[in-house]
Amino acid sequence: MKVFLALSKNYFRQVISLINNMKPSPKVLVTSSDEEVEVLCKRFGFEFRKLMEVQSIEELHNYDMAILALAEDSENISMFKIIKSFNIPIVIALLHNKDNRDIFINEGVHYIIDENEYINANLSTMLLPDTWVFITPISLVPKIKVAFYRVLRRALLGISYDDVRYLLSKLNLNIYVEFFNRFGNRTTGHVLAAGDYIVMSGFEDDVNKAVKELEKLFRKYEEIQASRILQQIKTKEYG
Amino acid sequence: MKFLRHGNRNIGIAGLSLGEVRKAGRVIADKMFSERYVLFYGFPSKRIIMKTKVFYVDPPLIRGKAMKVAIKLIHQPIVVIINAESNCINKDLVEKSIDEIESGEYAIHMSIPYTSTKLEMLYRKATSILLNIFPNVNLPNYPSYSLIVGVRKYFDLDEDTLWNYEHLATFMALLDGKTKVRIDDSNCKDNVQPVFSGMEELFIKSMLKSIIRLAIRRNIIERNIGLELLKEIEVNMQ
Repeated sequence: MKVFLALSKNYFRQVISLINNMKPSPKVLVTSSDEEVEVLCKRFGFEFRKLMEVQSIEELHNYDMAILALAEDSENISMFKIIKSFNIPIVIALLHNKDNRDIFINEGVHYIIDENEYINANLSTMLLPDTWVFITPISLVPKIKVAFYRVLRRALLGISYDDVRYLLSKLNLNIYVEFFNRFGNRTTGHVLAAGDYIVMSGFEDDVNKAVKELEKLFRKYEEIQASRILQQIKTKEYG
Repeated sequence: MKFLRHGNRNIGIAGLSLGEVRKAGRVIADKMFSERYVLFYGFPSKRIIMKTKVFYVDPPLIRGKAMKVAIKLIHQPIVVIINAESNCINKDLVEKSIDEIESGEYAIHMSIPYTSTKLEMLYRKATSILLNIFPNVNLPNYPSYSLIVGVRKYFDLDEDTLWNYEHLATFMALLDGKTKVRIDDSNCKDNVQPVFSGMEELFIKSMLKSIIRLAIRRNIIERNIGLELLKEIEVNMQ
């Protein structure tokens, strides 16, 4: 197998450790704008070419795969435009800004790995409790989705696991649901507590539908709670 | 001349915008250009659907960076960069300036300054400093331009700036000696976005620094003198 790599220094370690584990070991051609990568390539014995030379490498017609992991989206796109004429059957590109996904698809990149999706998901589960967070775990199968939900304030509503399970079983969807407590163990109680996680995985459409229905359930409980509190407050009438 | 109008000319266009595209959108979508892009470098409020390819620049609000990205994206020998928010740009103006560059009259053509009092004031201060260092080089009169057409090789630089990339390109072109730069005023005013208020000093400072760094790199001034100048700028501009 022959692999063409366009690497920035940040991704050198990850990609090279992957390539070293491949058996039989592939032929690798590396290009980069960073000097560090050139030095490391000499150390590991990979063939290195400068960015300007890529256009004139005739061998690239025979390559099986190209991985574009340069430091910026614009660099990745312009590199893809250069290697487009070589008709490499599999091209994988790293995406830094999720808004640019459309332009990558338009240009004809086969697989897109969104780096910021994972950063964003990790941060928002920490910073934004009581919201749904979605991740596509592997970009090879884009229709499979995982949804996370961290319960904090809505634990006051006293929703039981059975309620949630019953609702989802009624919907007849192809999804897998599990509840974890904040230590990552399976929960043993009966009611959603503060810090619990709901994890749902399955096909994209099914997960979206289930999330919508669960959100409706939470809203309903909130309404009931609010009306209960309203009844407790005594109001005086004047005039 | 129909064959010239359908992607057969070696020109790429990029429209820079903070979040919306006005009249200039029609110019960008013209099929005369073989590569067309709209680059958003602000925080657009909603997903924008357009005929042309849309690219979102990171980090936001840095105009110099957006221009550099535009030049990276376009692979054609002649580059057109326009301010997509401007109301002043029309097809005739762009076509005329492209013709001038294709015929070899000029290397870079810029037009329509937009005015902001503070940015302009600081820019004048900076140009007076530069005139003392490089007496032969006349830099453009205004801090920013909404239409820039040029030969790609002058824009292909390693240097980074925050605000005005076009000045570096004209600086390089003027140093070349043979090439000509043309600057036009089309009697039409645009406003600088209020987003940029308060950042003017940083913008001008970074432009000054990068011009001096360019000069050091090309051996126009000596390294020691250049480094001293860089230190002075930190003090003088405050």
